[in-house]
Formats: sequence, structure tokens, C-alpha cells
Amino acid sequence: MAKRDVREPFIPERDKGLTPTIECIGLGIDFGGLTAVDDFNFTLGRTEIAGLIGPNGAGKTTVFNLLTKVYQPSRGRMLLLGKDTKGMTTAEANCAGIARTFQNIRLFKDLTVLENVLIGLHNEIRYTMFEAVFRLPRYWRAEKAARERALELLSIFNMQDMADDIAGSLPYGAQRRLEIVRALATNPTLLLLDEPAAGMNPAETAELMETIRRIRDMFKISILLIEHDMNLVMGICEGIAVLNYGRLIAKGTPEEIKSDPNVIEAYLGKKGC
Amino acid sequence: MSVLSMIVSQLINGLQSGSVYALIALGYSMVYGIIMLLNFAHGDIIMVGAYIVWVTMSVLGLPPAVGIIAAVAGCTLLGVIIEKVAYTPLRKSPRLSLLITAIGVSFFLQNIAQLIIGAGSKTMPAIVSGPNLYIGSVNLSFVAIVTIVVSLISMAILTILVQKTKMGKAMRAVSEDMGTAQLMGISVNKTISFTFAIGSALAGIGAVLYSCAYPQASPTMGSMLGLKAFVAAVLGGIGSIPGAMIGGFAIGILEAFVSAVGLSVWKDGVVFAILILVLLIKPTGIMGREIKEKV
Repeated sequence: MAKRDVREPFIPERDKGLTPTIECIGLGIDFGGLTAVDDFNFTLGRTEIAGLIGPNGAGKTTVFNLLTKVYQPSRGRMLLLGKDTKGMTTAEANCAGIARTFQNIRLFKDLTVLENVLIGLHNEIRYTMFEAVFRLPRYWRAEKAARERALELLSIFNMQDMADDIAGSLPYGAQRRLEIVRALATNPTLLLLDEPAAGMNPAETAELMETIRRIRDMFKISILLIEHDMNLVMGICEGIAVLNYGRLIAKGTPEEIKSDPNVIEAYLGKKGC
Repeated sequence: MSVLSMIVSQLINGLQSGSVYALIALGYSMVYGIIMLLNFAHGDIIMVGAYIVWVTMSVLGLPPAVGIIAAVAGCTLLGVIIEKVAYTPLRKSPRLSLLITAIGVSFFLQNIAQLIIGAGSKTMPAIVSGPNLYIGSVNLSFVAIVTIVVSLISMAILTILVQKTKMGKAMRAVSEDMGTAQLMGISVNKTISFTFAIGSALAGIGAVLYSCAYPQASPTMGSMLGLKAFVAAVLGGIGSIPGAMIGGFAIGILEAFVSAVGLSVWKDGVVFAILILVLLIKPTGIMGREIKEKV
């Protein structure tokens, strides 16, 4: 079989024929005179677990901010399930199916674990202000259903017993897991994880890998993660995208990426000089 | 009259004015909690509310119920309009610009009221009336009882709204971390408007209750009332809803007792002395959170 060009778009075999979750065409953003991301062409399969890697300052988090519409791109297009996302706000992008976690945990620290998840369920809960003030049946039904859903999501991570704890008081690992639960509560089609294994020991990382796979299988969603832990990236990602100086230099399977000369150069510098 | 019954009746007086302060302080605190703005136009919303009651009842001759509904609805609408017109365009500006805009809106409302209705004060019609209650030798005025009960009910509804509903959770989420709340699919604009609507509705209720107790409306009536409610919010811990309630009642009771011991001319001075003391000793107020400096 001829060697695939890693600069060509890549998605896993089983996702071919389905509309990709994300399709970026020539996406770019400038901050003043500085081009942070440029000519970003990227396709993500419907049930793909993909990694976004690259040296520090390559623009990985900027890509996440573009995908979540925290930044509006200076040029290029981004299609979510085939639909152009031009002009969407962050909240609308979330409603359309993009959820994320953060490199530095950003939970609502003063609220309880359950409330954090319920906030994630915000757009799933439907009743009017009138129904809430007068506590009509629909309010009770909706709140009860939301609580049950929240507890169900927490139980996936064995966190149902912590539901009434204050989020800020949880141990670090649990806070990270809660962020993922909260993101899942928004019912995403794409889950973005920004350094999910940061600060975790090898045992915790192994457990996290298992969890990420389980989430994908349970929810049938695509997951894109930024991670520096290469064991994790090579272990669970089906496709790996490599960013360097704001440009995508390759996307392919872990094997293709490991042996790609451009990637090796970006990480380690040029050979033999 | 025994000392005890005097204390009880002053306490009732204090709770009566305190509940109005608390209702107004809640508006200050909620808005501050969500966009870090000291909305100095908030007091003037009460003035507008009082004039709405006056217009519907005295000018148009409509029954009190219509006046009350019109005042609450009018204040709610006004609060949301002010937010949309004056504050939303400045969402990304420095906080000082917002503060100065708020002061500008306050002057604008006072002057527009003077222009339309005139600088003189108008006598309000009686909104509620009923028999006074006697507990022993203590005389409880009907208006005082209505004021305290209505305020407590409003605060209970507010607490439920903030603690138990999705709008309340969205408010708390936006106030804690606006960026993350957006990523949870919460519309920040809607949530902020909602906060202004609730705060202004409480101000509308406050306006009606205040007009029951002090039946006069003037274009500048909102400024002193607003400032005292602001002190109440700071005393309770600005940004904190239970804090605003506690602060309001505390200021009301304090004023009542200061007047009772014969220092009524010092009443306002004592309130502002409290503000200075709070800022010196515990700037975060009674219920305020300690702000930890990140290093």
C-alpha cells in the first residue's frame, strides 16, 4: 500500500461517508499583526478520538478557542456537522454541540457538584419564569428530570456520592472529572479536552484513558484533546493532528505521525548538523 | 408607655423602613454580583415607580391594584431598557466608564422627571389602608405589617428563584465566571437582562411600599433612598443576596433607634458613618466572600 500523505485530511475508516463533526477550511486568526493560527485545514470524524499536539505556543489552545467561538476567525470557514458556524456566539456554539474543559480548571467553585452539572444542563431544562415562580407541575417535572439526569451523568464517573459537596473542595482529579461531566451535560457532539491528564499520575492517566474511550462509546461523540502526555495521545487517539507555528503540519494515525520527518523536526529539530 | 413596648414599636418601625431598604439593596447587590457595576440609577427607578403610582391613582383615578401592577411592571421594563441602552454597549469597557454612565443615567432620570412632572413634590394617595393592630400597648400600623409581610414574601420568592431554578443557576454561573457560563450554552445577555428585570421589579415593589409609608413623590426622592440601600448592600456584603437582606434590616432598625433616642437629625450621618466603618474594618461586609489574591 502506498504511503498516505499526512498533509491530506484524515479521518478513521468507520467515519467515512458520515458528515464530519468538524471541518475547518483555511481557518486563521490574527491578533494585531501576529498570526496565531493560519491556513488551518482540519477534519474530525463523527466518532473519532483525536489528539491535537505541538510544541508550546504552537496555537493549540487558540484552535480550541476558535472551535468554541471564544475567538471569531479572521479568515476561513468552520463547518459543524456540515453547517457553517459563521457569526455564532460561544453560547450558540455550545447549543449546536461543542463542549469543552479547560487547561486550568474552571468549575463554578462556590456551587455544589450537582449544581455545576445542572448548569451544564441549562438548555435541556425547559420551563418559563412564570412556571418557576408559581411552582407549576412542569417546573417540578423539569427540575426532577434534570436532577436525575445530572446524577446519572455523575454516576458514570462514580461521583454521585459527592453531589452535594462544594466543587472547589474536591480533590484535583475529581475536579477534572467534574469538568468533563459538566461538559457532557450540555449534550455535545464534540467534546474538547484541554490537557485532561495535566497533573495526573500514571495510574490516574490510565484510568482517564479508559474513561475517554468509554465516553466516546457511550455517547457516540467525537473527542478532540490537547495533551502533552504522549503515552495518552498515542494510546487512545485514532487521529493525531500536529500544529507548529500556528499551522497544521500533519494529521494521521499515531504510527504515521511517529515516523513523519516534519513532526520529528518540529519537536526535536533538524537531524544531523 | 413602658420601655419594652417602646423598643418593640421602634423595632417594627425599623423593620418597616428596613424592608424597603432591603428590597432596594437586593437590586444593587444582584447587579453588582453579575456585572460588577454599582448601578447608581437604581434609586431613581424607585422614584419612577412612585410617580407611576401617583399617575395611575391620582391623575387617572384608577384603583390601587392597577397602580401597584403598573409600578412593578414599569420599573421592570425601565430597568431592562436602561441595561440595554446604557450598559450593554459598555460591557467590554473599563468599569469606571460603566460607573460614570450609571451616575449619568441617574441624573437623566431625575431631570426628566422634573421636566415632565415638575420639581415640587406630589402627595401620594393612600394605597393600602386597614385597621391598626394592638399587641398589648404596642400599636402596629397596618401599613407597617403589610410592608414587612410583602417584603418577606418577595425575598422568599427571590431566594427560591435564585437557588432552585435554572435562571437562578444561570445567574450564579454568570456571576462566578462569565466565560465558562457561555461555554455551557448560557446566554450572558439574557441572564444579565433577567437580573436587571428582577432587581428592578423588587425596586418597583419597594417604591409602592415606600409610598405607603411616606406619601410624597419628588424627582430626587430616589437618591437618598438609593444611597442608604447602597450602604445596606455594602454592610451586608455587596454581591450577596442574604447580605442585602440583612444589611437592609440592620440599617432600618439602626435608623429607628437613632431617632428614638432623640438624634433624628443625625440619622443619615449615622448611616454613612456605618459605610465608612464597614469599608475600614470589613470591606467585604457581613456576608461577603473574602477575595483571595492569586499569586
